[in-house]
Amino acid sequence: MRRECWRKLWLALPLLAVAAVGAPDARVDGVDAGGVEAAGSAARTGTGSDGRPGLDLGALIGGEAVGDDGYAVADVSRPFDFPADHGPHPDFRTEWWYLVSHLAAADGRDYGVQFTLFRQALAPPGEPDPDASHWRTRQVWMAHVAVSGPDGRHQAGERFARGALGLAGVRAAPFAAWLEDWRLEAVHDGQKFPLRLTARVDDVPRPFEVELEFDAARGPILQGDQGLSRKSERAGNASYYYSYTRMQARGRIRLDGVDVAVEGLGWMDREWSTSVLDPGQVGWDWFALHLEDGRDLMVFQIRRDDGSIDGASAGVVVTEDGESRPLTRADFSLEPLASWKDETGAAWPVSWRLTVPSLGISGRVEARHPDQLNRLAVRYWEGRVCLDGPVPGCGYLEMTGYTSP
Amino acid sequence: MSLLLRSHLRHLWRDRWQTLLAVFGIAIGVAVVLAVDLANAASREAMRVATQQLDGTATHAITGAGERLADSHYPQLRLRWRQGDPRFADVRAMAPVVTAEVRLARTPQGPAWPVQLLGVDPIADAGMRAPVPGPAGGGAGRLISEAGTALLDVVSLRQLGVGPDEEATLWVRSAAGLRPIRVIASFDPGDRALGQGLMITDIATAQELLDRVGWLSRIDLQRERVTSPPGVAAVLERLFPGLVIPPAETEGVDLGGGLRLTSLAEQAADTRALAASFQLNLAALGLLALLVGLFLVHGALTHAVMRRARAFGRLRALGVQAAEIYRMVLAEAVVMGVLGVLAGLLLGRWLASGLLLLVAGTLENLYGQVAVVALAPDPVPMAKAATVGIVATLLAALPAALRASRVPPNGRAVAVKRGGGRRRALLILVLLVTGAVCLHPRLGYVGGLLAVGALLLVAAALTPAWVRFCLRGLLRWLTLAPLHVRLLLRDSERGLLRSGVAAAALVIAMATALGMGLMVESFRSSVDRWLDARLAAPLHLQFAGERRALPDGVAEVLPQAVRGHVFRVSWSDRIDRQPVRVSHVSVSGVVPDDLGLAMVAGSVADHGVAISEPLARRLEVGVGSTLALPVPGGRRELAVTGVFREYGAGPGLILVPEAAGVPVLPGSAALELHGPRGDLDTIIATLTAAAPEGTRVRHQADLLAQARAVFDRTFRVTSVLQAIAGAVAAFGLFAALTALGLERRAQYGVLRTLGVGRLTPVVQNLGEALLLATAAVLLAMPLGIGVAIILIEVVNVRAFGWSLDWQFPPWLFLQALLVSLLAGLLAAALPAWSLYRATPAALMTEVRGEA
Repeated sequence: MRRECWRKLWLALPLLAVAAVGAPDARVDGVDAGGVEAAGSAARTGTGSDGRPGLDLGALIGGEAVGDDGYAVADVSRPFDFPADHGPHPDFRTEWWYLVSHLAAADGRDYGVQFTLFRQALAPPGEPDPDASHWRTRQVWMAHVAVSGPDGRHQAGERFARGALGLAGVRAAPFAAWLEDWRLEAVHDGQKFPLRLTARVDDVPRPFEVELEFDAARGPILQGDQGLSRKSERAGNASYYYSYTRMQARGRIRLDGVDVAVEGLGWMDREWSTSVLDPGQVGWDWFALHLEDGRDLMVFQIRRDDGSIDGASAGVVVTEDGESRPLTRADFSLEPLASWKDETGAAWPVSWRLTVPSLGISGRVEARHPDQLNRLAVRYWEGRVCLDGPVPGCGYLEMTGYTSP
Repeated sequence: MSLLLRSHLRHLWRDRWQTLLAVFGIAIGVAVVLAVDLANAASREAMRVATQQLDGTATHAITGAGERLADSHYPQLRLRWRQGDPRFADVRAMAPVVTAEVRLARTPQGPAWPVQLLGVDPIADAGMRAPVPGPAGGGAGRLISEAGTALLDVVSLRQLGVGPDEEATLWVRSAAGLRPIRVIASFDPGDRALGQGLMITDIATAQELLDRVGWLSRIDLQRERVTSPPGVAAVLERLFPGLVIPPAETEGVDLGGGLRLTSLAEQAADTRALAASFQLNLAALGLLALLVGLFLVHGALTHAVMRRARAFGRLRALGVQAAEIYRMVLAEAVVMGVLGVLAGLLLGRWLASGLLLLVAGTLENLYGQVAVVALAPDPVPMAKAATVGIVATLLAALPAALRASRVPPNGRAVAVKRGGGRRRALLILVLLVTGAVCLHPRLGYVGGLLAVGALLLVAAALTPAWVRFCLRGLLRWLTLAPLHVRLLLRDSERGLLRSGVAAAALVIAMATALGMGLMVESFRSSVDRWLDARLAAPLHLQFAGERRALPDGVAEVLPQAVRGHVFRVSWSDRIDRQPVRVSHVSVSGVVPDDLGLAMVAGSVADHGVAISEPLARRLEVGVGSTLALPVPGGRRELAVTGVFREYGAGPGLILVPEAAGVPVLPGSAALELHGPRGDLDTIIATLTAAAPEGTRVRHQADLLAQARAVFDRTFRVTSVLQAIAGAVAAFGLFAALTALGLERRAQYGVLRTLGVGRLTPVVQNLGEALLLATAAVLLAMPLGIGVAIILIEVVNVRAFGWSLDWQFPPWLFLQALLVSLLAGLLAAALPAWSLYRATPAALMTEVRGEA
């Protein structure tokens, strides 16, 4: 029945809808693809998920071509302009700053840290009113911070804010992306790197803090067709997408009241778009791996409701000297080997066979721990994985759209 | 069936009218107690629901000077909270609020419906007030992104004639003027529908709608509750009107920069305390009705016991124990009590719905609560009224039961113990001492009400002796009067054991009525004089929106229009947890001394502030003390130079002259115009042309009429309860005279057979009633003055902080006399009529039957 799937933020959209109306019971299990579907159908019929008329936040927060009027659209390749493009693109509907890192302490125990800042426009740009309230905005922000510990315990926190009074936002130079006290920002003015991430999460069973610095970045790597990443066959269903595929990460994680010094590698994605949906897409599996031979590999596949893999699935390989080469659907294969079932009965493939014949890569990608599920207003799996085989490596896997039968 | 029980039932049946009267007396007393409690509970519930609807799960709030804070504080406070500032320990959510009471209308000129406008950030507010907005999956996105959109509760929509699925443009009337608003969705307030209407908008829309860009009303916090739910406290508060149990948490936390963090429970307790004194006064009137009812029970049982003295003597002779007779009479009382309570509960429910409207209206006038209230079946007041009814009945029956048990075997009459006078004197002494102790200042207005109660009981205890004194005096004075007059006097004296109780009830009712009447009249004249002075200016201008200064256009034309003016900017705040209204005053030209305020002490002077009398009492400050006035960024110590009268029960007033140099906060702005140059119509035309849109020009006469109407509405409920107590008393007199009439039938039978005309018993009966009523009212008059003294000098001052000018309108005393006489005549009419119609033979038959 699910006819749409969105990557990352698209998944988060119903969550925004939920947060925006503040229905606390929306924080129940199974608001993942079900929520997507409800919001998607709302987009078409102009009714809310409960069928009441006039409650069309679903239509506002995207889907197909409906309600895109007035937004900028990612339809053609464009020159990227840095540092301006590190900042927000408010005329596009959605945008995110996405950072994952796999880290290790001196004693060899390994950790994972995820930080994501999402921007969502609730309405297309209009004429600004000089007498308007300082609170007047059409931008809503959401942030996720998650830590995976060596004992397999995974914890994630989330926050929301409107784009007003400096509660949340992104500044291109000197770079800063923040939601309240969760911040990712340039350590030195006039230099994008090193970046410092600070976040403190209290409202979880085991409160934690992270303070990490990222430097010696490889990138920016333009994804897809010179930064235009198509998500379906339809023109305009695409995003502008670039990445820093490898950063040296160093810092500390405070977990259970104990500070642990860690270091490792990080990966940052930047993406903005207005419409990327296609009916029939149900979810995706996204792999970002740092290979031990110095190459970085990203592949993603979009799953369709008939069980097939969408032709828009793609990837990239980046060599040690920063040369990148896009990969198409035909260049790689992904095969789920074993699944882990969450408490709702949804089965998440936590063991995969990844083959990229042209790169000589073939092996099993195994989750370091099966339960790295972000049980937030929207449920998705985001966690550390390692690849074995001739070219081993470690990195992050993101899975969406797996629901209970 | 035992002999005892059969005898018992037979007597109850024979005295069925007396029994019925007693039952009715209890029923009325219980009904009034219950009705007052239910009405109080309902209005309290309405206040609570209205608060809860607005606060949601918020437990604390951050406020600034003038009950507002710059919205730039919000992100800073949020950061402090997120970074672990210990003052925000246990805080789970923080949300900004912009709120105001506004009126909604379908068309710009259409009838308006009051709603609370609640501007929230739907994102920060998630989880705090979430259940209220209701519409899942939408609305909020548009609320944020579309200016001028709102969600409205379905009850308000219905009131405005808008369908629940309709998107409608409505008109908001607020201090900022008339603005359109688009209602994009509705929500069902569910069981919260008791409260007022609620309109939810995005915080940006609320600021724009109210002209409050840059300002928040407060920041709500949701803190993990450490205290237990206030279950016990809530029940206690329902049991004892006037009682307000403050939450364990007391003082607010100073966050610096003039910001304070206070618990909402604490603020709610303050609001409850304001209404509580009014509710206690009502409850006291309710108890008074019960007290009067108890005199009926007492009278009826005494009557029954006396009539059955012979039967008790025979029973004792047959071997029945005194204790059994004692229990039997008490059991009789319990039967009456139960019947009375049951009837009273039913009656009380019915009475409550009527009373509720009056109570709600008064609370609205006094405290500005828009109280759309409904009665709820509440077991606590029901149980309380029932218990009070039964226990009081038993207490009232105790003397009769004792008397009955003391009838010796084969005794023929109930012994009237000697030494009763001494005991009564002792009782009076104890009551007087108790009353005096109750007047101690530390006992507050509750002590004052108790003292009134003690004084009334003293009067009740004195009544029989007083009436006897009057009758004997008359007898001595009228030595040459005709025989039947002397007979009347002597008969009346003999009947006192029975009628004395009824007379006491009448004294209580009349004294209360007179005391309350004096208080209300004094109040009315004080308020009148205060209003006249306060509204001395012939013209008043109210500006729309919030402002800090006189609009330039108006300032330009003023010198040509008038000789003097007073411009006020007023805003709300709190000092020592007391809600206050700060008025910044700038004066120009010729204006009345002290701005026309009636000063209690000191004067309005440039170097300090003048404050209203109730506030001075609440804060315990006077001329010469200092007051810490909240100003942006902190507090300013100012000398109190004067205290002025104020009869509003709302927040205390603080008058800050311009010269005191206190920064003006944006607030509602008003202009008083003194000494018009030329005719008013021309001046109004000039000013209207110069004033900004939405300015209202009002004549002195309109404002006076409006203020007086509010005053009258406020006292309507009091007079209704007063009338009920009076009616119960008249009823008591009726019962007592009926009993006396029955008892004297034999005597009249003898007189009639001796040839005395049938009119004589009628005249006797009516004469006795008039004598009793006159004696009662003569005692009630000084007593009423005593009640008024306590009410005016103690209760009003302590409960509301109002001081009043005494008024003694003669018509009030005349009215008391006439009402008493009328009550006496009405009460005597039926027994007299029955005597008139009875033949001597019938009267004699009853004598034999009795024997």
